[in-house]
Amino acid sequence: MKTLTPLQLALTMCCCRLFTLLSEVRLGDSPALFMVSLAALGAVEAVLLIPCIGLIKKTGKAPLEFLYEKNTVAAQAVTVVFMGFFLWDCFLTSGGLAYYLDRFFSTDISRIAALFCAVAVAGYISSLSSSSVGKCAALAFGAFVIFMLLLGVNTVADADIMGLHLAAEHPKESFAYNISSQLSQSRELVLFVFLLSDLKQGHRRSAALYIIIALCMAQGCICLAATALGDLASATDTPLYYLSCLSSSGIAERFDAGFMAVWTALGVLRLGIIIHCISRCVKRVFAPFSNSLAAKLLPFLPAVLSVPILYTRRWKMFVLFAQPPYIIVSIVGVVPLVLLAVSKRRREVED
Amino acid sequence: MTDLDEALSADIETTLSKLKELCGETDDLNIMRVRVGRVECAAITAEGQVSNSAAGDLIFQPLMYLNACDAHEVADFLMESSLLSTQRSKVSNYRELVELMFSGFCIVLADGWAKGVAFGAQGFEKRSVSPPDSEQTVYGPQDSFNETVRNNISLIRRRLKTPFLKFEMIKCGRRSRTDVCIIYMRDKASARMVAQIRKRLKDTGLDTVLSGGYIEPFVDGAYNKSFFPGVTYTQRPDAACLHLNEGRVCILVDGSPFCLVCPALFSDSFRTMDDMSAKPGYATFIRWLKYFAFVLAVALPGLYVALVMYHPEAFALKLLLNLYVSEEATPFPLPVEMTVLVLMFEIMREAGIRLPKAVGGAVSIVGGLIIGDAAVKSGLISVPLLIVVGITATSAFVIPRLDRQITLLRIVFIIAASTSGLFGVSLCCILFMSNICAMNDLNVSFLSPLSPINKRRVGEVFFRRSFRGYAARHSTVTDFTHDDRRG
Amino acid sequence: MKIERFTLALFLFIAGSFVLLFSSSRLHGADIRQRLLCHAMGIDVENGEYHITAQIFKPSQPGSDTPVDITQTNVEVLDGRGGTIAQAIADCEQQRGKKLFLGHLKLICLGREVDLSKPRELFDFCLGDKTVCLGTDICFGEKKAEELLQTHLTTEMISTENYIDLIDYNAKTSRCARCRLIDLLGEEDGKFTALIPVLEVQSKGSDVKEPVMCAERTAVVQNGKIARVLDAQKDGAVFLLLSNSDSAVLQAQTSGVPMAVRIEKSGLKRSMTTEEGKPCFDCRLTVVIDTLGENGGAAAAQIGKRIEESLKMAFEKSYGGDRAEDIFGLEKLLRFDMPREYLNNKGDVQGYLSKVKAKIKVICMVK
Repeated sequence: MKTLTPLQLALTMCCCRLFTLLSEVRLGDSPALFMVSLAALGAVEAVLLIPCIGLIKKTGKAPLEFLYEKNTVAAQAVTVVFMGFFLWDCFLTSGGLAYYLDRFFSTDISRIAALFCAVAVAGYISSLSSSSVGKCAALAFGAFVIFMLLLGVNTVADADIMGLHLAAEHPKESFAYNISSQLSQSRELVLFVFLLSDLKQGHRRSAALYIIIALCMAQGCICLAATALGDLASATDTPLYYLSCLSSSGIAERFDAGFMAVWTALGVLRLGIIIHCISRCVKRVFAPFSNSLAAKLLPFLPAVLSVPILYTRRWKMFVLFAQPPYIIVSIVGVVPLVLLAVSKRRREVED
Repeated sequence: MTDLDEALSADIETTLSKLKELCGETDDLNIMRVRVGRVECAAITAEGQVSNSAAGDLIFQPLMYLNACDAHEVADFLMESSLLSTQRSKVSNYRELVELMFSGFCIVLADGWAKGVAFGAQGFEKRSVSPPDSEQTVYGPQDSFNETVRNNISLIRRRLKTPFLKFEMIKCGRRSRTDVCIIYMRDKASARMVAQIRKRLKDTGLDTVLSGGYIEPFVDGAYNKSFFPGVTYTQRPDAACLHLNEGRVCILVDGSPFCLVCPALFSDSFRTMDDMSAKPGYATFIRWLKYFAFVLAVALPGLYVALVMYHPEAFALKLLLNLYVSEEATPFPLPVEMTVLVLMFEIMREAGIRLPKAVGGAVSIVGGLIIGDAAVKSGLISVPLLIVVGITATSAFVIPRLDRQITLLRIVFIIAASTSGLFGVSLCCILFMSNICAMNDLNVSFLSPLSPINKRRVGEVFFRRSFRGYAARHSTVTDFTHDDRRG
Repeated sequence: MKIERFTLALFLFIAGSFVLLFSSSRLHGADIRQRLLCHAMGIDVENGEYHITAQIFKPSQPGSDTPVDITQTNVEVLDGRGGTIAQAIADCEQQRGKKLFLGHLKLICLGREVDLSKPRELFDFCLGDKTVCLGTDICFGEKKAEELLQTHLTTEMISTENYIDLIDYNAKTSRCARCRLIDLLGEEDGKFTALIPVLEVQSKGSDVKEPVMCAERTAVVQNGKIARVLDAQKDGAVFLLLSNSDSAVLQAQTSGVPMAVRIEKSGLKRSMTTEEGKPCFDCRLTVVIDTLGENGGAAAAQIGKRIEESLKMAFEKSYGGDRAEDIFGLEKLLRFDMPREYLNNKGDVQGYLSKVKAKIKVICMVK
């Protein structure tokens, strides 16, 4: 039953995006240029989503739904691609959650135990419907906004506009690199395309909301970090964490503990929705075995695989920025474009 | 063995002997034989259920003046030509006879007529209408439901004199045959919702239904899936009427002074009838205070443990130094102190509920002395910890409807905070938030109208609308669903 | 029903895991009693190794119902030595068998001989330990940091609060600069100028119970070393151009009568432009003076002129040589206003800034 609303889907994706933003972001030489790149990225994402939205407008069905009607084998193949991508995303998210928790926060819990607890909660979230996750994401997003407002109010005294300078040595290369690296981090675009099938209506509105809200939040966070931290924002790859360390008020000396709470919530939500999508792919691809234990445990396999890497402290090898965005562009843009072309051609033939 | 559904016999002796056999010769069965004219009749009552004066004046006396020649004259008099009571129904089989008899009806049988007539003459002992114990208000009405369903029906009907208000009586419990009344407004409640509730009540399959708690697991679709209840209770008729006007369904159970209301919303627990007696500004302030109290009641002990153990850098310097000084002298780790103190408080609270009122005061003295004074002075617990538990306990009293959930959640948060600080607290928050978000019984989300957001009604979660707003339109739970069909 | 059972199993699994972890011995590691709350740290370099002096909180009267006795000093000093700062800290921890908690580290005092050319390397222990606050104040001791850390004051709950209050107040009243950890961590190795206050102990006699602190001097650190020291009496106007200052007290003389005038900073506009191929610093400072009497206008003009002259002199002293001492933060201003120029001269910004021309205008108004 399609009970997911456009706003819920948009906010779920925003939570996923904000998790990666809070975890790690490299501003490069010039934070202001990075912000311009983010705005350009919004436009790129909008262009990438046009074929998908166009397909839904024309056929009334999301890409996978449409493909399953036309050609089951091709649909299964595309589902396998989605599933593979989600498994990779799950691996990165779960490992990242454990890694950054250990790196930044002085909890006395080991990486493996943190991963285990987070995956257990994410497993429960994945068992819910997408609309329930959407409602939860809306609340988590609200909590995030309140937290960022608190941070903003407490660091505005330290803010110096000179942190937003445009002095990048190779501006064009930096601009292109920023877009490429951020696009490679925008793995939630694939989740978005997958979950569009849960919307009854308002697909275009959902895409617009997602891009605008994510862009505004990211710009706000980067602006705050750059002006408050100054050169440290460019020197580190976790400026938002350091921003929370710097904030202080009359009641709390610093806000990094609150940062962790919000970041964990966003991370677990992201992990939950990814596992939910993997489960749905498994049910489609391995339909006869979907009730078996192996099928139920497959979504948790990436988290398990991250354990030895975390244990041997080699997580940094899986740097988020090194991956090119071609896979995302292909899944989000090219596949729906091909399907749109096919649907147009069929209509012409039928006419 | 006589079957309950067997029809009554025209022979009065046969009927009476079968009745005695059915009831196992129970001593609370009263059978009074009398000749009305030339017809042998019998009046059957249950001991203590019937008012002797009502039966005598309203039923027996008129019968004595009747000079009947045959059973049909008696039947005609009882059914057509007289009004001996406000409740009158024909009895065709033993099941009806027994149920009505034990419900305080007086059944009159006539020899030669294979039916009986039951007249309502209830005279069993019942509690009078008294002020509510559990939902006290300062300016609101001071009457509450009692254990008699018909009294409760009258309390509601008196307040809602609309023809759209409907009462449906059904029987629940194979043995108890308890009267359960489903109440709803035909023009506001969703027909689908009412049908679902009706079906759930009919499918209970219990032997006895002695209070609302027996049927709650059947009515509440999220009973086993969620931490929070999908059904709420109220002891107040005015609150029940408010809920009815919002398109909800109320269920009264005979023998229980509480009315079930479904579906319940999370924001219901933060409203009281006093909100309607105050200006919107003050009522809104109190509502926000309750939300804050809820957060304190649930999360403060866990947050305290998490911050002191794992994130002491978050405290202001002077506060941390005072905490350090206090904690340094205590022998146990902080989570152990906190858990023991919270459990001690729960023990005292439970003792306060169960103890007779005469010795109830002793609990507060003992609790205050032992926990408040001696434990601190002996160095077993620290003062800041005591303050935290005190604030938590007091905050929990502000929202009595959620006290069970708060108690359990609090302990879960303490455990989570003890193991992994704010990481654990955050995981617990997400876990419970997602559990609440998944509650969607009767097609109404538990977090409505906040999530999914209903732009016109979301303000009601945080603010009390003015009465001019209510005059324009009262919101209903069907505003929060996709189902707009009315009953 | 299967889903409900699965959900229940999941709940129980999660709950069981928490309980297991709860009952494990890991509980003790996070106990606040196992931590030493360190508020101030002194770093000296002696014989090629680091000497750390840590002021930790030690309550004079611990008790479950006892507040902190603020009439006592409530501090204890630990010494540690090691090849790196982290090793020296470990040495301190070994003396007490507890972990040094740096989450409330308010002040890092450096000895004169500490090399600041690689601040990120020097303060690596702050980044490695995840709890050090980026707003921690940095100061120099008069000679050794240890001397400052061994001084115990009783005005506040702990001595460090006194030090911080002193630096904060003096920075606001333009008597010294303020330098925080974040200001140094963002700098590139060896290529920065920093203004770091100097905290001195001034005891006035053997009969004095409480030592008196003073923060009226500011060290100008250039390329990791102290280039010179600014004095509040002579160079006070310089601090008016820094973001921390709000006010100052200067002396004016009208009609032969000296008077102390309180100045409040009302507005500051700074920009970098180029004139004839050379950088030009345009500064417009607006201050407001609060003075009774009829000579307010004359005093305002005098004050304004004095501040202008003082700033010009300080400017020439700092930016007049072969290499600029960037005490006014012109590098960042250049980068913001003229990024192209900045990038063209990125290899030698100090040399570029040594050619900068100043246009300083001070407007002084009476309240």
